[in-house]
Order: sequence, then structure tokens, then C-alpha cells
Amino acid sequence: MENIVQIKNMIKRYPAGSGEFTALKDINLTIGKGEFTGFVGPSGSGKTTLLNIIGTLDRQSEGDVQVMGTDVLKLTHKQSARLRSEKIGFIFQSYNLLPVYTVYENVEFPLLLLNIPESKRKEMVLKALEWVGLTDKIKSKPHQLSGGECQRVAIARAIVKRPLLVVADEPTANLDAENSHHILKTMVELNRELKTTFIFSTHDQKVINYLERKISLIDGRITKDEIKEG
Amino acid sequence: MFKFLMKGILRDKSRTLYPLITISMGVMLIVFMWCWANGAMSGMVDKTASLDLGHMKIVTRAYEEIIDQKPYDLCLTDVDELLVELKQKYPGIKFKPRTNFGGLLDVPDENGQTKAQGDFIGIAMNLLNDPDEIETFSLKDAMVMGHLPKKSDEILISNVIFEKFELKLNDTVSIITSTMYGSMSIRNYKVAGTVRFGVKALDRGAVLIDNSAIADLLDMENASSEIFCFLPEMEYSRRDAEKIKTSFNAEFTDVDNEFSPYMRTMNDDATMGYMMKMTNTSIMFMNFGLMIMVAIVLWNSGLLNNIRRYGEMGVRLAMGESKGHIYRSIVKESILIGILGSVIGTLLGLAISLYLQYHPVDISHYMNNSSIMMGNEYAAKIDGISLFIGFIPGVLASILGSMLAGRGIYKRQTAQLFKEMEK
Ligand SMILES: Nc1ncnc2c1ncn2[C@@H]1O[C@H](COP(=O)(O)OP(=O)(O)OP(=O)(O)O)[C@@H](O)[C@H]1O
Ligand SMILES: [Mg+2]
Repeated sequence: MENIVQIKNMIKRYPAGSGEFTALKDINLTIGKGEFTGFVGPSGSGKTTLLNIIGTLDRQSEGDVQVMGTDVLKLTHKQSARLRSEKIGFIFQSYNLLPVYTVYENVEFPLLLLNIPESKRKEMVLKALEWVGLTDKIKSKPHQLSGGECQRVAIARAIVKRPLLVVADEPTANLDAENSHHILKTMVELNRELKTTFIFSTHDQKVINYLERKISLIDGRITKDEIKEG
Repeated sequence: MFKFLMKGILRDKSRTLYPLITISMGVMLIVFMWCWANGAMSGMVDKTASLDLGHMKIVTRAYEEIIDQKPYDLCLTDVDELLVELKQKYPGIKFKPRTNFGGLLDVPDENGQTKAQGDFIGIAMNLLNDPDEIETFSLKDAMVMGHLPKKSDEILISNVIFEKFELKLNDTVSIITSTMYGSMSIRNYKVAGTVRFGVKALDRGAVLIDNSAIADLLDMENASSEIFCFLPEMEYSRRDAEKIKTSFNAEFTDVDNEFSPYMRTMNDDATMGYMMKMTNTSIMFMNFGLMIMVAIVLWNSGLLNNIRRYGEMGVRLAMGESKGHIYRSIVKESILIGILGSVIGTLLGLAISLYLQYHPVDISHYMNNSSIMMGNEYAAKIDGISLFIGFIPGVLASILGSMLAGRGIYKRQTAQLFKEMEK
């Protein structure tokens, strides 16, 4: 499998009032394995919508979307859940950690869904927390952590199962500059070490500076697709 | 995964505590109501049995036809012989001959002129030499003043008449009535004591007299209009009663002789049978109603709870848990909470019931004018069923509530659930 994402002539419409609203138009896009890519554009340009379709949380209205070689329209709910649990990690703007669980348990959760045995789980969770530098907080609950720490837990949770693809929707929107750089560096390292593909949505210049490829969206259309030199 | 969910239940108090309280309260009410109704019912059954119907009663076939009129001219005869035979055939069962009759009570002044007069309800029974019958009729509890009759010519009368006629203990009163053959009969008796049963019919005008007196007063020699029968331990069981009735009637009832004895059970009494049926049905309805109420409350709290948890659901879906799996985990949680809530509720309900079983509420104030035969005390009664009755509605309500609330997961698009958490 060469391409992680392959989209052809894709359109996404939402029902709006009595009519319809077209959130994505004529999307043609290929993202290869190991890329460090981002969708950049103003608010309402369709970044989240596109990420959700790639993450199989939503479906396109028209066109062809292949994620890791499978046609997403052909997947049942159960199959797409399985695809997500095995191959896709999510990072959200607002962290979305499970509040009653500890850092360790939050990171462990995706592994429970994969029925990974306990000892193996422990090893993987500790490794993931090591990457994000949070091994000293494994027993803390989310409300005891700072925003930056929460987002690092979320990163650990996204990458603990070594997914092929990590989808991150504005991961730095709630973080200050220092924390933003910290987590971006972590993600760049993971991208290099594990060959994990990262797809971001952002309008944060700090993030844009780290991207290897910048795909610009305006009004639901791709207007520019730039690959960084060097 | 199970452990993971358990941790969530135990740690997230608002997710667990509120439904738990709701279920516990509902189940507590159900259990308590059951014990309460059970206590009321068995209080009523006991009282009615001892005063009015017996568990079973033997009468003549002719008497049975118009039993409400208590026609003592259609009484049983050769009662002593019948009793001997019955005691032999049905050991363990108590047989108590009683006769109801009516007439006028006349109170003379010192010159022998009528000072006051009123009607009464006469009951002839074994007052003199049958402590068992005194017990059966709860006479010791009913005594207000004076003593039990020691001689044939001593009677007990209701405290209400006693006060109305301004009598004193040991005063002589005359009973004016008719014999079983229809001729007029007047005899004098001494008032030994007064009674109050908390039952309107009796308290308005009861006169209790010993069976030995009716040979003379009513011309009923070796006769009695009814023989009350009581099952062992004074514990009514419809099944046992019906069984004895069938065997008795097969042996003693003669279709060609309308004066042959016939046995009927408490349930054959129209009012009593109806009351028993009604009580059972209404308890079932009340339980069902409560269960629905609890389910609706849980549904609503479940909805609120699930909306609060959409964030969690969204994350779990994004992590790759399927909707069905999440839905089932919600239902499983609700089963656990339902069982736990039912246990707590049952214990609470039993605790209250137990208290009221030993500290009965005195309702004699309300019962003074009651035509229902009910004890003066109203106690709850715990039985085997009360241990389980709360569980079915408790667990069902919990499952029902969570299933209704959990449907929201299916109704929403995955991405939508997922967006709701960002707000
Ligand atoms: N469920 C929906 N129903 C109808 N319209 C929607 C829905 N979701 C998104 N839209 C619309 O689609 C457009 C693109 O939304 P999207 O969330 O993808 O924007 P975005 O680029 O992520 O914006 P932001 O930077 O503010 O997050 C918006 O105009 C939005 O109003
Ligand atoms: Mg967005």
C-alpha cells in the first residue's frame, strides 16, 4: 500500500435548512505513507469535515475515498470502527480525555479495544508515555494536568497502538507557544521514528512551520498544495 | 474491558449515584407497599376469620342459601355428635359452634318498668368452658370492663350499648327474642362485662352469650346455626381450605336433605373473596405503575447522563469502539446498577416494614365506624415474596431507562456525536 489516502472528485454536502450546503467541492487528493501534512484555511473552509471523512467518522456525498486501500463507502459501521481501532489515531483540539480515568487508563483504552494482553499493554502504554515525557504522571486524572500535559496524553493515546495514520484536528489551538512547539517536536520525532503518517488541520502558523506539505482550503476547495523544500 | 467499565461506574458518581438512588427509592416503595398491603390483608383476613367467617364454616344447606339473613331456624342439629365426629376426622382443625340471633334488649328500672330499649346482635358461643374459643374471638383484647361470664346467665355486651343505656356491671337486662320455632321468648341476664372490637357491626350492638343458654332462650337444644372451622396455627390457606371443603361435602352433604351440613370457605363469601382478589390485583397494578415511573425517571436521567457522556461516546467511537458495543456496555452498566439499586431498595423497604411489623400503627381511631373487619392495629407483614418483588421492576426499569436513553447513540451520526463533545 503506497497511499494512505486517495480521494477522487469528492463532494460533501450537509443538509441545511430546507436545502443543502456544500462543505467540500471537487476534492482530489493523495497522501502517501509517512507524510507530515496539514490542511490550512480559514474557519469554515472544511478542514474538520475533510479530516472526519479521512478518519471514517463521516462519509462523503459523492466521489471516491480510499483510506489505506479500502473504499470507505463499502465499510459497515462495525468495519469502520475496526479500521479506526487498528489503524487510525485521533487527536482533538479539546483533548477529549475520559475524565474519570487516569492518564495510564486513558492511554490504555485503545489497546483494550484491540484485546491486547495485559503485560504487553503495560509495555506499550509506558513506552507511549515515555515518548511524550509523562511517565511521572501516570496516576493523575485529566483535571490534575495542564492543557499541554493533557494534549500530550492525547498524543500518547493516539500513537500507543502504533497506527499507520494519526489525524489531528487543531491540536495546538488551546496551547501556548512553548507547549505547541513541544508537542509538535514530539510528533515530528514519532513521524520519523515510526513512519506514522500525520494529517493536521490548522490555522496556527506555528504548526504550519512544521508541516512538510501544506494543503490550503478555501470555501471547501483545495486552492494550493505546496511541498516544503529541503 | 469489564474492569474498565466497572472503574467508570465506581468513579463517576453522578453517573451512578442518581440512578442508584432513583431505583433504590422505587424498589423501597414497592417492597414496602407489598409488605404493607400484605399486612393489611392478613390483618383483615385474621379478623374476619375470627369474628365473622371462620376459615371455613359448616351450616345446613338451607341456611347456606340465605346465609346473609343468619336464619337460625335453619340451624344444624345433633351438634355434639357432629363435633365428636369432626374432631376425629379432622384433627388439628378447630371447630367452634356459634349462633347469631337478634332481638330487643330491654333495661328495666328499679320498679321493673322499661327504662331503655334497643335492638342487638346476639352471638352465642362457648364462653364458659372453652378458653380456645375465647382466644379465637380475641375476647380478652376486646374486654373493656368487667370479667368474662362465669355462669350461663351472664353476658357480655358492647360498650356502646352499655354507655348509651347507662348500665352498671352486674345490672340485669332482659333479652326479648323469638325461638327457632318462632314463639316469643324473654329471659333476664346479668351484665358481666363490656366489649369493643373496633368493628362497626359488632360494636353498635353486640351481645355475647354462652351456647348453654340458647337451649332455653332459643329452644335450640344441641343445635347451632354455624360451626366455625379454623386451620392449624390459625393460618388461612385457600388451598387447604378448599381441600377440606371438598372432602367434607363429599362425605356429609346430602343433596336430598336440605338440613344436611355443608361447608363453605372464606373465599366463598362474596365480599371477602372480592376483597382478596382486588388486593392482589391492585398490588400488581401499583407495582407496574411504580416500575414505569421509575423507568421514566431513569430514562430522563439517562438521557441527561448520556448527553453529558456524548463526549465520552464520541471519543470511544473515534478510538474504534462500535456503536453496538457502546450501547451494550451502557445496558450492562444499567443491569449492574439495577441489581445494586434493587438490593439497597429491598433492604430499606424490609427495614421499614420490619419496623412496622413490630410497631404497628394504632388505627382504632379511624376504625371505630368501619364496616370492614380490620384489626385495631395495622402492621406490615414480611413474607417470602417481599424479598424478591422489588428486583424484577428495579432491574427492568433500569434496563428500560438506559435502553431508551441509549438509542440516542444510534440516532446520531458518528461525526455528529463527535462534534457535540467539542462544545
Ligand atoms: N453537521 C453539519 N451540518 C451542516 N453544516 C455543517 C455541519 N458540519 C459542518 N458544517 C459546515 O461545513 C462547513 C465546514 O465546516 P468545518 O467544521 O469543516 O470547518 P473548519 O474548516 O474545520 O472550521 P474551523 O476552523 O472553524 O474548525 C462550515 O460552513 C460548517 O458550517
Ligand atoms: Mg474545524
